[in-house]
Amino acid sequence: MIWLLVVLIILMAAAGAPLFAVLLAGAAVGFYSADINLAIIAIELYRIVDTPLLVALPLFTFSGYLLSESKTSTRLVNVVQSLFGFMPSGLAVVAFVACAIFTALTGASGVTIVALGALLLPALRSAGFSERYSMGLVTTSGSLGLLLFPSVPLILYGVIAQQLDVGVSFSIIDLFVAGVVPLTLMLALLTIWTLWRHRGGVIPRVAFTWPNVRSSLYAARWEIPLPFVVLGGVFSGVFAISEAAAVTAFYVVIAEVFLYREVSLKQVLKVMVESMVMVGGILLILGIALAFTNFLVDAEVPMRLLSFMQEHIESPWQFLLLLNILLLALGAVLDIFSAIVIMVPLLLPVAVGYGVHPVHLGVIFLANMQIGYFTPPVGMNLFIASYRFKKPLLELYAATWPFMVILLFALLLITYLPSLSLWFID
Amino acid sequence: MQAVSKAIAFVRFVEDAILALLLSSMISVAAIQVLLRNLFDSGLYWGDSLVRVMVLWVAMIGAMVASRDDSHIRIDIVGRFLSDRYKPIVSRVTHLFTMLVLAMFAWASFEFVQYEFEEGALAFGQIPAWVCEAIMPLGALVMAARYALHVIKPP
Repeated sequence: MIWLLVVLIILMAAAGAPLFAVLLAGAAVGFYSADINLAIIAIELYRIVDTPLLVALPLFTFSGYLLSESKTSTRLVNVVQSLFGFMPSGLAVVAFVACAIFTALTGASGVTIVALGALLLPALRSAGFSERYSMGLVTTSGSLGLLLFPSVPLILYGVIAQQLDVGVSFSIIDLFVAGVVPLTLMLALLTIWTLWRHRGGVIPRVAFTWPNVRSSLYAARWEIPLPFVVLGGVFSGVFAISEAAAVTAFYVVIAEVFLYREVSLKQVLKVMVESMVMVGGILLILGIALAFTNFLVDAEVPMRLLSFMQEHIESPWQFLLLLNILLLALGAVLDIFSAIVIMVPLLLPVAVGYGVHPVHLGVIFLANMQIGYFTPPVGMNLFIASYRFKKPLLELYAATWPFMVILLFALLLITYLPSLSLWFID
Repeated sequence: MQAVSKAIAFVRFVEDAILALLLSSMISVAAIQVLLRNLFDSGLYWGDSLVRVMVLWVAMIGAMVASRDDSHIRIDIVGRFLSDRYKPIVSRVTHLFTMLVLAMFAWASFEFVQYEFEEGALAFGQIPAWVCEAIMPLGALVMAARYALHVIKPP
């Protein structure tokens, strides 16, 4: 009877039932079979209230939505362009950096491709980059920056990993610091490859001028303090993460609505509702997933999974390779939030059993997901780019694969050199 | 029929308004807390708890709004490859499944709220816990009703 229900739930999931309903049904069947009153699910969902870090999720998401509603993307590109544009293949480097920052702010919901892609694609073309390279860059960079604070998936991973209590303690700040070197590595490799591909002066250089820097900085004057206030506040310990999120939201409203006057109050209301609908969906799934996870832990599922794996796979290296393959496949099919809430509770105890640090697992997890975003056949970035730029998917597969090879190489380095992520942890 | 669509429009308006109100209050209360703590070394002692309860409310009401046109996150493996002939049938079945699961959760969470009501537990300050928790059965009920409508007429 129980197994029949389990099969039914899996069928419903595959047929496209909402993820929260699938998890809710799974948790209900689990607790029912263990003779536990189903009210436990409500008690677990109510634990959202005991997690201060979660306050950051709606606030950062709202800020990201509001920033993408105004002309922040243009100003960001201009600032980065005036600073780095003089380098050989400068605009490509500009595009990588700008996309990474914008994705960290907006949480890789595809907004980067829509907001920055439309801006960068024609600019790249007129700077002399080929159609194929430009399309590849814009499509793959839409998820670059997942590892950079305050990306919502990064915070979500931290929330879940800390709830699990696997015996290795870490602070959420550790996770933010850990992502910096891996992201820099990705940016560096992409830049090196871009320089090599366009070697011999194919792309005309643009001169560096102070007036350009000054005018672009002036245009972005209300937004430039933001990262300094937030990062400074968080890393100096003046703000908790949730408070930094509140200050960001407050600041962004003041800047975009009252200082730049690019977003009307009516639009703010619309953005509020839109972003909260998105957050509501994620939080509901998260709350139910926590209940489901508790059932799994009670049933010792992760422990059994670990001992089963340890019978067949001995070395951590083999485990990590297997992990990468699994996550790449998942990243291509699942959206990032579902992947995190479903897979982290199962994988984290197993990974810790193999001696992988939770912070390192987080970096590996998100780096895989980042690539999954443009893995054929169904990576989300491919669909968004195809829809936005009216290009057939096959053309995008061809345009993105060199970028994918580079990022896969970066992924291998990140996976097998834990010190890239953990250099600051004893 | 007109009364029904008027009622639906009213519910939608109320949901949107509450969402915007919740988010604005979250931003304001949390920002005021930061100011009070850093400048005056004080704070609203119920502020942090209130903001965290609001997160739960945002979660439920946001999910209610997402149920209007069934725009929840899903793992759509099969649906993508389904022909147009079978899509409506399959989506009716998944809507029915979702409705039943939500009805179950509405009942389970109602039991929890009822228990907390009888216990007289307090969430923070003088606010009873059941008031904060009531959004769970209420939200589940509204969502179940929406999915029931989706079964009859897919969005």
